[in-house]
Amino acid sequence: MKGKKSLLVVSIVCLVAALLISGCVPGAPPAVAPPAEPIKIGSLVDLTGPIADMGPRFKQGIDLALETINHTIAGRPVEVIFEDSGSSPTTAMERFKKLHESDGVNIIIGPLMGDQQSAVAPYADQHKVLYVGYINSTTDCVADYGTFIAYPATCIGQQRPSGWFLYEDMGYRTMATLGSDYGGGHDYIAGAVYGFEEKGGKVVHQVWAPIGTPDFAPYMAAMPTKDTADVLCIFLSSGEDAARCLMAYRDEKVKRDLPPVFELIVDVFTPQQYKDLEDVVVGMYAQSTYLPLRDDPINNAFVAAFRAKYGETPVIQQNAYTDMMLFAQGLEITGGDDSFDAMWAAMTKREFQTPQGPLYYTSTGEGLSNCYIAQIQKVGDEILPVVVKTYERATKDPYVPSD
Amino acid sequence: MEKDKWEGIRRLWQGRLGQFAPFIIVGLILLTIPHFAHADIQLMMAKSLAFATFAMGYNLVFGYTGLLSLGHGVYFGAGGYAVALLQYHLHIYSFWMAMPLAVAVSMLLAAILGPIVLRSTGMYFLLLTFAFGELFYSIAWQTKFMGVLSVAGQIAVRGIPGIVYPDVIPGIELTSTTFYYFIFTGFVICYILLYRITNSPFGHALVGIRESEPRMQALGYHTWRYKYIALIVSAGFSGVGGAMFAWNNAMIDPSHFAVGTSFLPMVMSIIGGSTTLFGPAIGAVIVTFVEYLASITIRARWPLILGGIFVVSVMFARAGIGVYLARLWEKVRVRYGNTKS
Amino acid sequence: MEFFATSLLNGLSFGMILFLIAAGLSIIVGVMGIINLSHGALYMLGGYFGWMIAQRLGLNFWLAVFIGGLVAGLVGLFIERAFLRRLYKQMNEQVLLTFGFVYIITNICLWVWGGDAKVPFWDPALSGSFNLAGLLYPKTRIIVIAIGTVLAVFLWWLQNKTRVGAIIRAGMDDREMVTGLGINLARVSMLIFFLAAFIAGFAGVIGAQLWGVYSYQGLQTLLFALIIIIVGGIGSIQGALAGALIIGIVDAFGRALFPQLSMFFMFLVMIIILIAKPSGLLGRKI
Repeated sequence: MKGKKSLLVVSIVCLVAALLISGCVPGAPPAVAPPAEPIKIGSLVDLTGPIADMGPRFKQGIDLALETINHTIAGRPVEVIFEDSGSSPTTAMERFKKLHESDGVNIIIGPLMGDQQSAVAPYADQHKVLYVGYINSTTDCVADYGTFIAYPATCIGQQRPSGWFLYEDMGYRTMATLGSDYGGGHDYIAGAVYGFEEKGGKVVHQVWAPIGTPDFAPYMAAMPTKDTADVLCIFLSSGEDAARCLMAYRDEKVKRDLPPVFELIVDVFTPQQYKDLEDVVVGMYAQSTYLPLRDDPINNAFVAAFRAKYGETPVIQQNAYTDMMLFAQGLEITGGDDSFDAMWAAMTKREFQTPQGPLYYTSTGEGLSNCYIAQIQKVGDEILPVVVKTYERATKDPYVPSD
Repeated sequence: MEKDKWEGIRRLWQGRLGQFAPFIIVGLILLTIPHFAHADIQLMMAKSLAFATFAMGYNLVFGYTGLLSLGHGVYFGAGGYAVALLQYHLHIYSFWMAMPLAVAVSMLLAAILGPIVLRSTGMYFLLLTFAFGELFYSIAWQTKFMGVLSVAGQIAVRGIPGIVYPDVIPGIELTSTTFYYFIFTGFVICYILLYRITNSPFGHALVGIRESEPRMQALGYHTWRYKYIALIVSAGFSGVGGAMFAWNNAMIDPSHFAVGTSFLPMVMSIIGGSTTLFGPAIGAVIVTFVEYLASITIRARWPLILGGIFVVSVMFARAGIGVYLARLWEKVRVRYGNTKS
Repeated sequence: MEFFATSLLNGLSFGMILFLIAAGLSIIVGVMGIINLSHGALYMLGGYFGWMIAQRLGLNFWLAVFIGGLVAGLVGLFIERAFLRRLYKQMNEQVLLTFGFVYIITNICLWVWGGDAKVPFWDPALSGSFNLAGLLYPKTRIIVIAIGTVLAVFLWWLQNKTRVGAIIRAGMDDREMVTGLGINLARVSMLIFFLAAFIAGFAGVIGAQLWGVYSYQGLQTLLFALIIIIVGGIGSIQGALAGALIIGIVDAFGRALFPQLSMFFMFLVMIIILIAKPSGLLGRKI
């Protein structure tokens, strides 16, 4: 009797294992989907790991976009399959493969991080999978591979006008920088530096802080004062790092006359973090990729819809929303054909209207969009960046060949 | 008449065939599933075999010799980076150059670190091996040679992406499926080698050291030498696992040196059963697949499941799931073979 | 001069938080022989509960500190009673079990509080800076140094001057003898484990003044704690203090002077000390 029971257990285990595995092995994806078939789009979002705060926000944006288009494109239902990229290039690569090969997806929104994008780039290039970034877009992925679309521009491109602003409008001549020590961090700072230097400015002090640095006080202790550097350009990859950095800045500023801060990609802050940092940020100038308060019909409609659905003002969620809408528009143009060649032809060398502003894609997949300079102000009950200057279609990356 | 016919089969069953049957069954499963499975399942199976090799090699030091190392990521990462750097900087894709290099580098590292880490035991050994793992991680993080540089000259990507399948037979390109079989072959070879090692006098001496080092010393063994050699050999297999992983994952990064990776073969060995050779391999498959399947089905909650499995397996399957399955199989065999056990 | 003084104080305040984290772990590992990798997760759990009390409910900061410690203490106690107690001296199993709890606790925190990091918070009365002979230094950091010092003294007293401390030290060396003397070692172990976990959660809220709370802290603080007990040595309060202050100061000066080599410094110090003195600076041999 005992032996029979053991055999039963073994058989059940094998059966379950086989079912589980086969459950993940659907039939081979058809080459072109028949009309009634849903259009499948994949999305890589970070739901676990150090940048897990971003994932749910991007999902919010995509969900709103789906609602806006009524889950339909070109007469067919649309399905977005989300996978966790786990804040790691290894996980991103695995899920990317799964989306393409198991789920039959040819279009993927994400991943977020530069090293994740670099990890999937060769595979995407080989298998002709179209993918787009959320805000971080690595120059090399655009320049060296052919299936990546930078949203809204490469990192370097996004910040080039910041450098111009600091030199021409603010009159600064020397700059100190503090950036997150990873690919995207280096690129964002490099963009601002490029723009600043090409106008004649000089960088006098550069610091790179590892992601998740607990204590920024030492960096601030070594930061030069206003005598040496006119401005301190900061980019940190997450709201939490940026918040802690600004607090350390505040503590040090009491003692020494530190230069004013110019924040790159102020979008990483959440409304709550602005509130907590009120005394430090109000009055500060910053570069922002997307400004919810920008007065524009498309933007106003989007912000209203987002507020209605989620009860908060969108910031970085817009990027995911726009990514989804871009693909939706592309698919409308191709009539539902999600093959790479059709989509690429539909989306490049074309201008799109987005809540962020007009967006033009070159033949290499580089985005040329607006760069906004903002000042953090108190508007009613909220503290938000307000546009003070717009550079139109100014995000050309000097390292990517032009059209 | 009838009795004789069944007698013959029964004897076969009780004998060698019965012993090898689990291997044959498992082998058949491992060989046939990839044919029907999609590339991502193939990816996960290859990944689990790479980790199985890593874990089995690690277990030589952990389960057999009784040293709790939390720093085998150094050797795993070394194997992976050897393959990656060879491809990235020297454009050498040949398996016949890459694999020997991976093994050589990882064994060399063990030869150098061995005298340092083997100065301590128990808790301190754990911490010291962990320390070296983190040190290598931070070195790999900052070294320009070990990353991809951006146009501006800074490090754009930490680690090397875009690793392609190796050239094994000139002219024949590996596909996802054939690459899997290639890894499977490598895994089998490593298994056989480790089987030989663990069943040799050397292997038995290691177990003796785990049980009681003073006793072994009293018997005249130079235990330090045995531990040192065990470390070097286990590093070699870890390097093989690292190379397999790098090809399969198409990318290697600094985190593969650190505790997040070093911790895995230990988990796999304990879950699968650290007293056996195949235990860590079973643990590798379990951990890899649970993580993957849970992540797909429950997305953000999969670490909860994985953590839960760790806790459950420690409390209820103490000797390891592999050992548990082995005992189960024995019961089946005995029952159906009608032997007096 | 100002730079030197500021950096020194930065190092001390950073070091004191590290000490608070490592002290509990050092006692448990060195004195009770239990590897509790979930110690960092308890820190984080305390921090989240403290945040909830102080920021969400708007109650007194010091109440939040106490609640944070209490919750961590109770969870730690639960892990010890229900699981670790059965794994006496089995290092492998302890490592796997407690690491499993790191995953579990981290994911639950992520589930409940979301991925958004909580910005540093503190007692409103402590906003601003003290004027120390002309040097302006944030009040919160001075308080951290003060609290750390008081706790260090208290724990040292507990370890060396009380009966409880003696029992624990004896129990580590010879469990049978101690129980043979009629001492309820299990109950004392429970108390010490609770205390260590309480300190971890307490540290979580104290540390939140400088670092905030975020879901990655479970692993990050574990890493710090391990580095410190490696450097300072296992099993003694003075070891944890020495290790923490050394690492804190080296990090503060290192980051300021050579920012590109930040983490590398920590690991280098770790290796050097391990090679020169494998049991750490002030550790007891186990």
